[in-house]
Amino acid sequence: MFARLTLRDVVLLAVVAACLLAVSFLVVPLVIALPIPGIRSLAPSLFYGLLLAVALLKVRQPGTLVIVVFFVGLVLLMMSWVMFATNVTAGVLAEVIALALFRSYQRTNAVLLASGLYMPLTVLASLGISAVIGGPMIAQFLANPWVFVPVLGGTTLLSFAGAWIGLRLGQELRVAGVLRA
Amino acid sequence: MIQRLFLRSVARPLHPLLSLACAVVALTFGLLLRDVTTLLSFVAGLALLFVIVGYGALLARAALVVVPLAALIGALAALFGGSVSGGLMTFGRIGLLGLTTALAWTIDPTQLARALRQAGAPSFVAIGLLITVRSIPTLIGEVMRIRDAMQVRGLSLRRTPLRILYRALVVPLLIRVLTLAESLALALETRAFTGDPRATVYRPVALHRRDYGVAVLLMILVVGVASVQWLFI
Repeated sequence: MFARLTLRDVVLLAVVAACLLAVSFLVVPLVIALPIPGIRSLAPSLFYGLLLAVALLKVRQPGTLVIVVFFVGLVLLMMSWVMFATNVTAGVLAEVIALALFRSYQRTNAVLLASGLYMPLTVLASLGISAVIGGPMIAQFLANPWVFVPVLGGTTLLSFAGAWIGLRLGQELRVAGVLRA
Repeated sequence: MIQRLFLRSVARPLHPLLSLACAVVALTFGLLLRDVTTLLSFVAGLALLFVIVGYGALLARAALVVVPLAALIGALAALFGGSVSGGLMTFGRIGLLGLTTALAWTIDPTQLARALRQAGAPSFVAIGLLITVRSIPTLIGEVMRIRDAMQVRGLSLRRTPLRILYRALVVPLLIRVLTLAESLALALETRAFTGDPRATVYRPVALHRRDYGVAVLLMILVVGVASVQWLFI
């Protein structure tokens, strides 16, 4: 996967990963005390969608999304492997779905789909991993769909909105000569 | 910044990959425990292990944050869940997460990148990890600088409309991210960091007797707690 990428691509993806982590470190502490499942994905989803869209516009290679979330996951691995597994699983799923439908990231819709799908998939991936390690936690989530479904819906909406803004921003940056694919 | 705080409280850190492996093993094992007494005993054993390997100061620093937080969330869980054992379980799990996080945060990213290269990981993984960790404070600083620039122009983050925030905050931040990545890549290229797999490690990271000792002690703790759970509970 890394063989197709240049050093410049890897550096950009690492800086975008750092940006995603910085957003998480600034936003997630504001909502961490709220006992709502998935709220930690909902809060930064707009920024994640935006930044991932810009990264995919700059590096339109298959595997780009997985590499960004892998770098994010490596840092989160220093806190908990659960967060690493959640991020990487969601990244792989989003990338597989986007590439299965569009084959590559040359089309703008592929970028929109991959970057928009990632955050809602982290909610589902965390549910799946919680089911394996937490046992009763999944039952608790599924027993309260009136809390879980709006959070998932909100995350999807914000994430796709962020990705759409990212695409618009990408066009502006390309016109300005800052973003060259 | 928090990581530096944790790093400073440890005089002789363990091998980075071993620290990571210990954190992963301890957290996985702890999350699999279903009995409150066993979980709390495991967390206490882990704390004792911290003291034995010379991580006492780290333990004290982590406890200052983790114990009140775990007690608060544990109390809330007991209140809403309706059982004291559920609250104690939450307390134990957050305590465990705090301990493993503190252990993993003693890892120096540079040492981890070197250890990863020695272990045969692609050089781009090591470089990427290092850039990610090192860029976080820089980017937070950039956000603060942009916020200051907005304040000078009479704009605040809370009261400014989203459309203006997009122009005043998001666009300049993304331009900074892209230019930062460009200049960083250029700096790496000029220093011959090209991702060549034949590149050697300047200062190899070695495993010492103390590292093996910690691995053995952790294994004894895990096997002991698992045996107690299977035999008596």
